[in-house]
Amino acid sequence: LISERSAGFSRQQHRFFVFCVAPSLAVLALITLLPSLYLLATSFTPLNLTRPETQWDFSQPLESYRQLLADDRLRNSMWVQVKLSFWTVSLQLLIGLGLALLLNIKSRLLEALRTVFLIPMVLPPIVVAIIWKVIYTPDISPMHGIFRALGWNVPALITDPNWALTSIIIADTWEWFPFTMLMVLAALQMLPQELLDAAKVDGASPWQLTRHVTLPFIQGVLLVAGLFRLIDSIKAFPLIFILTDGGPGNLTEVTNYYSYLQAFNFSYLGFSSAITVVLLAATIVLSWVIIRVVGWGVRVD
Amino acid sequence: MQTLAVVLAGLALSPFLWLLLMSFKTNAEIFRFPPRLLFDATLANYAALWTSEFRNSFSNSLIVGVVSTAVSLVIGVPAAYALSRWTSHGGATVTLWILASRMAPPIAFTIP
Repeated sequence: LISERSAGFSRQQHRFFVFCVAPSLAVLALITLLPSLYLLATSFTPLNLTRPETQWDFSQPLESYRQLLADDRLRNSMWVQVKLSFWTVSLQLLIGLGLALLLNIKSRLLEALRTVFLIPMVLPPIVVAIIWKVIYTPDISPMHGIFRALGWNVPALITDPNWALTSIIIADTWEWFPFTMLMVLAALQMLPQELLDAAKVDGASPWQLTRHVTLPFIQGVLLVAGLFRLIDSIKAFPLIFILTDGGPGNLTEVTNYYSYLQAFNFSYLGFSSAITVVLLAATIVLSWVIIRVVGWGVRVD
Repeated sequence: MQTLAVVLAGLALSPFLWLLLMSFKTNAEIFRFPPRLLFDATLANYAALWTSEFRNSFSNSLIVGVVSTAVSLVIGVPAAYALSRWTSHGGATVTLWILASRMAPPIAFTIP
């Protein structure tokens, strides 16, 4: 009798949970699932905005994907993406880790400084882009002012083929190092003091403490922060849009930006959708990796 | 250590501080070389905000911000409560997919 009643209660509870979650799922389905399906459908058509009759033309469903494989510009954009992701993620991890180790010392001043370091991350992306546009514009840039005072002749970085991508990397690193710093700092605060004390009693030097106690403790967080930044770096848009517009040539044209150009400058929506489907698949795989690493699926009893 | 941290903070913040300084400068002052540390600060740029489109766009931002926060709280809080109490496998899977949807590139949702 009791088990029957508890089963009734659990069924009721289950129904209540479904009732609570349903609105969220409905909204998500409406704003993510439906557009994704539409995107997938579009990627199988040669949709071109200037030719409306191409909208539901499924006669050659894989045509866009075939072109995609042969597209040099797409290959270039992926290579640019790899370079951008590699450098921004590595630099953000290194700078974030260094600053977090520095700021983890107990002191009122350093605690106050943590907030200061977070400012780049909380600025709106457009504001960040404008700040760097100012810095990279020789006439008004304090950086170019310093170069001039030193007598160096430095070209405008965002229009110089050798420096364009580097200048984007610098700006993106500046915008997002606070994220890795924050995550590492949070992990460092969880580091049990006993571990450090035990190592100190054993006569470990500060360097050995960092190398053999602290770093192994936070390596999981570093991995997760790196993966999050990797996914976000695939979404890089405002900086490139404002600073270089993909140029000079297409040296800073990442895949995301190329897809945007195909869709809204050249009107090849079908082809652009195919690129985006590939991007979406890549981010889904990366998200899945993150989730496996963090282990949300494990927390089941 | 503390001095190092302060210097680094200053360095990290300098791009933003420059923007802040520029907001108090006249156009002529912005283009001046070498830039003067002590310049005649002007509030003209801020005063101009109130006669420009800024007023309109800022109130739009406020409306979008407040309304979307309110709507997402109304929809999200019950879901968050249920998912935190829901200990079965279903709950974890739902949580996972909600999070995953946050990671998709925005361009995927601009084309449709």
